Parts: sequence; structure tokens; C-alpha cells
Amino acid sequence: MSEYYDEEFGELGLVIGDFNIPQRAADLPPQFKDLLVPNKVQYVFCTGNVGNRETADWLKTLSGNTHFVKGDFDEVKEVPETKVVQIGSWKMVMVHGHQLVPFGDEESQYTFLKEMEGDVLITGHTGVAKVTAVEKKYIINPGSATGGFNGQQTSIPSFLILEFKKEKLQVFIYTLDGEVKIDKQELPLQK
Amino acid sequence: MEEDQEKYLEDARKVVKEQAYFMRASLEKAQLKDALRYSSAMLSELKTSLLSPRNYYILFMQVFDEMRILENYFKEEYRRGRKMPDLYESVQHATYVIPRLYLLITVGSVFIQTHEIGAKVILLDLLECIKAIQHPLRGLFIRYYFLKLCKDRLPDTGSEYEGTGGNIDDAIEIIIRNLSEMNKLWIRMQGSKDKSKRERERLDLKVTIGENVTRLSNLEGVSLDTYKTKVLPKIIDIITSSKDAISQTYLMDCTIQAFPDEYHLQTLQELLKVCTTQLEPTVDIKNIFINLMGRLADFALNNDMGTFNSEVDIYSMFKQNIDKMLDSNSQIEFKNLLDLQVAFLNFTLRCYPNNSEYVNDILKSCCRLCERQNETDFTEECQKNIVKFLAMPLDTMSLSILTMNEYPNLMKHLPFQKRRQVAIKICQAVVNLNQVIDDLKITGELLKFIQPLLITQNDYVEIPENEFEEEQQLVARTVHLVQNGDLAIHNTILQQFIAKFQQGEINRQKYTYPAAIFALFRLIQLIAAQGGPQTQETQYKGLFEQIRGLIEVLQGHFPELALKLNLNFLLCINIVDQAQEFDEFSYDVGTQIITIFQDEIGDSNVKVVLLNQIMSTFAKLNCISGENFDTLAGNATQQAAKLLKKNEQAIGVLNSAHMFYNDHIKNVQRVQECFKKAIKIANQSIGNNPKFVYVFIQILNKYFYFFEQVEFKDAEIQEVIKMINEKLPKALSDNDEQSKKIKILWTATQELVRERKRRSIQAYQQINI
Repeated sequence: MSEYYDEEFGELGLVIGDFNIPQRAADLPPQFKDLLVPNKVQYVFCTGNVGNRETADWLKTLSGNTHFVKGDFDEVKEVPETKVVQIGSWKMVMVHGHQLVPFGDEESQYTFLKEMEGDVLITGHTGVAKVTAVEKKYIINPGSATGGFNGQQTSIPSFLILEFKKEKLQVFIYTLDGEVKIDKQELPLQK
Repeated sequence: MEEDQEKYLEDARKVVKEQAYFMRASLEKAQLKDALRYSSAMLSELKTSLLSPRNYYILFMQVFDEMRILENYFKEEYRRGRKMPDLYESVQHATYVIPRLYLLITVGSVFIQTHEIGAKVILLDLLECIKAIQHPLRGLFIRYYFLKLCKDRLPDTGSEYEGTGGNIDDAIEIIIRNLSEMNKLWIRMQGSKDKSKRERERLDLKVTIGENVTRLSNLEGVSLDTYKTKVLPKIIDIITSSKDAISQTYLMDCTIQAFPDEYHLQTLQELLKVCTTQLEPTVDIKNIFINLMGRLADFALNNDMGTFNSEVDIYSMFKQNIDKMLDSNSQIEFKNLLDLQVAFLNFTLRCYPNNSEYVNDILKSCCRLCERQNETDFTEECQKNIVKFLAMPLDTMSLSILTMNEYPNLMKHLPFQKRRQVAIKICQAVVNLNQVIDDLKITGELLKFIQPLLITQNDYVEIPENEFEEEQQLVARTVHLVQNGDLAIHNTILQQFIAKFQQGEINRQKYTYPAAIFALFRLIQLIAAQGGPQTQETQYKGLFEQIRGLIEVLQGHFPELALKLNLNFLLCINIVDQAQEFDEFSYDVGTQIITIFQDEIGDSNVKVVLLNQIMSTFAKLNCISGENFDTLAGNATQQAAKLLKKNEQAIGVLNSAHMFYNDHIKNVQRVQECFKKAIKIANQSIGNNPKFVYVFIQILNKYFYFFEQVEFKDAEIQEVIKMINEKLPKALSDNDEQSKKIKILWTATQELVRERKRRSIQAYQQINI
């Protein structure tokens, strides 16, 4: 790892999951398909519930470093329940989230993250994109890539793009509600 | 024989090289007479009968290269003042015909450049002379030599030779005559023995013939009109009068290749007529058609489509001629006719996109064709073509193809494997195009076509597992494309799918039912968003009962799947039934979940995760009445107490507190009970195993989770802290993996308390750790 990260441009990561194809959706929205092409990002973090082999294989083509964790509807044997990935100064912890009680609960997520000694928790299951800061750590959820059923009244397709810098994490939240919208959040590294 | 050929060629080439050397030496010394003598000797090698056509060609090219040197010398001679007529005359002294004629042509070509006599005079004279060579191979090559040398000496429009030297008509005439004679010689090469060998030999030489056509097409003076009125008729004449399949095929191909597509558009009728009625039966007309269609399609797409459509009705021309071929009881093989139909369909789709009438007409022709065949005619090759036929229109026309009445007629000629392929292609097209399925009639047709995937048909063949999974997942995807603003119709369409799924067997339902169930969830969400059920069919009760039925079917073989689906089912009901109208129904679903968990799930690790999910889900519900919910949650807690390991039991019971305290319920008493039970279990286990202190730390954290909402007895918490402080040293003593975990959690807990004390949260002020 080099001493300095160029503050102007860092490595990119795609955070995406809860496709549930074909159980809850036919396909990724065409607008997302146009955006997500190979070699745009260095990392892919998949929160789980992909649903079929084809989509999982597709995710592997997007970058040389694709990481998966197991969702409650994934029937693949080689995928772990949790995963830790170190990127520069950032320790990323991945878990789908159906294992936690209550699910989608900030405190249970935070406790889990503390036990794993991570900086950022990448989690899914709720089907709603969300970026939260808790104490000195962060919990990020890309929501559902397809907008499939999530136990709530509405569900919008979404995913995240992360830009890794030494002292901060730039998060871009992509949502599809008629058209693609991008929101930005900056997460400074606090240790 | 082969080795002999090699030797003959070797020998001949040696002589040519030798004589050429001497020829060049003489030319350098300006000894023309000697040079001519040597060139004669060299050219004499071309008198040989020993060589195969291919080897003759090689020899010819070697001689040709050497003759260029002589030609250049003649040019120089002219510039030095030598009279061409003299030269023209002196070369005729060569003893043998072949050398004489080659020399004559060479001088003639230079003579023309002097402009002393009109080009056409010399050219016609030369043509007369070379008639003397009647041997097929040698005659062919001398005419080839003539063409090569004189091709830039023709009285073309705008060339230096136009005028007294002739005009475009003369140029055309000369080439046509040469072509005609060469064609005759070429055909005579066929002979009567060694058929296939001769054919191969002829094909080796075809470019010599083709060069004539190319030269014609390069003439400046050949405009569209000239082509139409003068050139094409003459070529067609040569083609049709020859009665030789190889020649006809090649000449047609050459003509199509050499002349621009605009010309073909204007003469299409003529071309097609010749192809279908005037060629030998063994000519592969289909390839000619396919070639033409390919070119015209490319042309149409690169140019103004308007011209294409309005000026000439290309489609009809092709259609008429193709149908003529279909109907004429000719010897054209079924397979070839299918190839042709496929190419024609491809052409039509490219040039007339979205014209479903045309497509249906072609389908009809194809059906007619297939009807006439015996079952045995449908070879693998033919079946592949039919599959192509059915799949091609999908990409541009998608589902509308299903409304074409000829479509199903074609399917029935295919065996199961191929029908399955077509079905898969249809599904893929629909999914890839993100096609919305909103029409009842089309849904009916679609389901008919993908039947090979939905039910086990009579001629079913086993498929490898991964392929089966892929195909069923494809079907599952299709369900989610159903959409209609009118939810009653939306529902009816879904019901059509479900009815079909019910006829499939459990191995299919594993994939199709979950998709159908989630599609119904979505429908229910949409109904709720519209303010509730508007019609009889979209009443919640019916839909709920249907979903329950579908899940029940899965339960027998896939209990875990059924359990998870039920959890999502509860969440779905929760969205629409805050009024708890379906309280009993939801309670039943919840009970079913517990039953499956208890009776059907064997793996203890799976049980732990599932129970967490069950509790998490129950914690979100507001659609079950107080009493019923209490029973349900209590059951879940009991299940926790029965988990395999003690720590799992303790944590499980601890987690159940969340079911009793959340956004919808604030049952403090139950929460306190959960804690008591959890501590009891923990106390029972810690005796033997100090590492169990981990559970106590977790319990402590859970206290803190509820701290600000639920009142706990101080003493209770202090007990827990005391236990932790007691056992902690021993637990951390050996520094293994578990100790690390305990240390991390304990440090985090201390930090948490510190932080909350710092924020002056009342409850924490008493805690000392």
C-alpha cells in the first residue's frame, strides 16, 4: 500500500445486492445495466441474495475483486456469511443482515460491527438504501438492485458507488425513481 | 502421378528460366532477332499437354512475368523509331502457333498504344487469330493473356482510344466475345471422364473467366442503362446457352459481385427470372438468392430506405420467385428450400422491420413447405433451420409474433428438444427486451409456446440439472413482466401463469411458485396503493388463500423455503392489514412457521439463523391481535429454549425480547421475563466453562439496548456485572480465539458505558464497569 493516496482520485467500489432474480424480479433495470459495465470500479461488494448463477457471474465480470456474502435466499455453498476486506485505511465488514436481531436495527448492526472491529459495515436485506454514521463508524446499505419485494409498501432500485480516499470515503447513492438520481455523502475516517 | 506432375513442372520452369535469361541478355545487346528466338523457345513450353491445369497456371504466370520485359522492350523500340507494322509482321515468323500468337498479342498491345491504327481494329484482329487455339486449356490461357494485356487498351468512354479507335459498344463487344469463347473452352474442359476431378480443375481456373466480367464492370461507359440494355442481356445469353451448372453458377455469382447493387435493384426481376426458370437443375439457386438478398439488405440499410421501398417492390419479386421454386416440383432439396426461407426471412426482417404481414406470409410459405414433407425429412439440419425461423423475428418483433396464426403450425414439426429451444428463445427475447406482458390473449399464446418448459410433454427428454435450473429461472423471470394498470386484468394474467405452473411438477414449482408468490405480493401492494380491492377477483381473502396454498405445496419438499416464504407472507399481510381483519389467518401462518421450524428443520446451525429471522419478522408485525401475538411470540421463545447449545439457547431467549418491545408493542413484563430466563440458562452453564462469560456480556449489552425504555432492577444488572468481573480473568487467561472475542466485546461495552455516562444519560450513572 503506498504512503499517500492521491486525494483527487481514489479507487472505486460498487456496493450492490438483494437482486433476488428470478424470485422477486425479472432483471436489473436497463438504466442500471447501462451504467454498470466492466472495468469502471476496482471492487465489487455484493450484500447477498443474488438469486441465480448468471447474475453472480455477471458481477464477477465487473471487477477483478468481487466479494460476496450469503443472503437468506442464496443457495450457494462457497459463499461466506461474513467477510472482512481491508482497503487502504478502511476496514470493510460485510454481512447480509438477515442474521441480526432485530434486522435493519442500527444498534444491533453497530454492535456487530464493533465485534468485527471494522470501520464500515456493508449490509443489505432491508431493501432500502441508507448511509448512517454511528459513533465513529459507518453503516451503509445499497438497498435492492432490482427493487424487488422488501416487506414494505414501496421499493426503489438502488446501489452505491464508493470512492476510497485515505482520510475519507465518498459515497454516491444511485436510485431509480423514473430516472436515475445520484446523491452524495462524505464520510470522514474517524479512529 | 503427383510426383510426375511435380517433375514436369520443374522441368518446364527450368527451361522458361533459361530461355528468359538468354532473351534478356539478347535484349540488352539490342539483338532483337535473337531475343525473339529465345522468347519463342520460352513460349513453346506453353504448348505442353503434360501439366495439370493448376500447374499450367503456375507456368503461365512465370512466362507472363518474363513477357512483360519483352513488352517493355517493344515500347522502347517504338520510341526509337521502329515501325510497328514491321514488328507486327516479324513476330509472325515464329514457327509454332502458340509462341506466334503470344508474341502477336504482345506486339498488338504496344501497337495500340501508338494510335497509328484504331484500337478496335487490332483487337478484333487478335481475337480472330487466337481462335486458332481450340485446345481447352491452352485456348483458355491465351485468351486470358489477351485480356490481361489489352484490358487498358479498350475504346472505353473517355479513354484515349475512343473515337476512331472505337467506342463503348466495341469495347463491350470485344470482352463479351472473349468471355463467350473462354466459357466454351472452360466447359469443354469437363470432358466425359473423371467428373469430380475435372470439376475441381475447372474451379481452380475460374478466376480467368471472372476477370472478363470484372473488366466489363470497370468500363467507364457502362452506365445503368448500358448495363441494362447491352451488358446484362449478353451475359445472360452466355449463361443460359451454356447448359453447364458450374459455369452458370460462377457467372451468376461474378455478375452479382462485380456490378453495383443499384444496378441489381433495377434488374432484379430479370435476374430472378433467369435463376428460377433458366438455369440447370443442379445449380444451387438458393445460394445465389441468399447472396443477392444479403447484398441488397446491406445496401438498403446503408442507404435511403425510401428509394428501396418505393421504386421497386423487392419483397414481392423475391417472394414470387421463391414461391415459384417452392411450388415447382423441382429436385431442390427440402433442406435447401428451408435455408432459402430462413435467408429470405432474415432479409425481410432487416429491410422491412415491423412488417408483420410479410413475416406471416413467409411463415405461411414455410408451413406449406413443411406440410408436404415426410417426418423423416426433418433432419437435425432442417430442425435447426425451423428453430432459427421461429426465433429470428423475436428480436425485432418480440411478442407480436405470437399473434401470427402460422406460428404454432410450424412448431409442431419439431421434436421436444427443439421446441424447448424455441421456448427458451421466446422467454429470453421477452426478458431481454424488458417486454411488458399486459394482454390476456398474448399471454395465452405465450404460455402455449413455452409449454415445453412448463409441463412434461409426451416426448419429454431428460435435461441436465444446471440447464433445467436455468430454463426454469427464465420462466420465473417472465412472471415479473406482468403489468397492467387495471389490477383486475393484472390479476387475471397472473392467474393464467399460475394455472399453468400448477400443471408442472414439483421440480418446476420449486422455481415457478416463489416467483408467482412474490408477484402476488407485489399485486397486493399495488391493490393497497390504489386504496384497497376494487373488484371481486382482487379481494385480499382470495389472494391470501391462494398464496397459502402455493406455499403449502412447496412445504412437502422444501420446508426451509416454505418457512422463509411464509415470513415474507406475513410481512406482506402486515403492509395491508394494520386493521387486523385477517388476524386469525395471520396467526395461522405464524403457527405454520413455528411448526415447520420445529418438525422439518434438522440442521441445528440452520435453526439458529432461522429463529433469528422468525423473531425479527414477528417483531415487525402489527397485523396480529394482542392475544394471538403473545401466543405466537411465546412459542418462538420456547423454540429458542430448545436450541442445541446452551449459549444459543440463552441468546435466543434474549433476542425474543425484541418481539415484545418494538414500535407496535411495549410489553415490559414479557421483556423482563426474557431476561430472567436468559440469565437462568446462562447461570446453569457458566459453572464448567468460564468462557461462557461471553453470553453474560451479551446479556449486559441487551440490557443497555432497552435501558432507556424498560425499567430493570438494579440488583439484577449488578449481578450480571459481578458475574462478568468474576469470570473474566479466567476466561481471558489463555489468549485463544474466543478470549479475543470476549476481550473485544468487553472493551466495546466499557466504551459504550463511558460514552453514555459522558452524555449524562441518567440510567448509566450507576453503572460501574
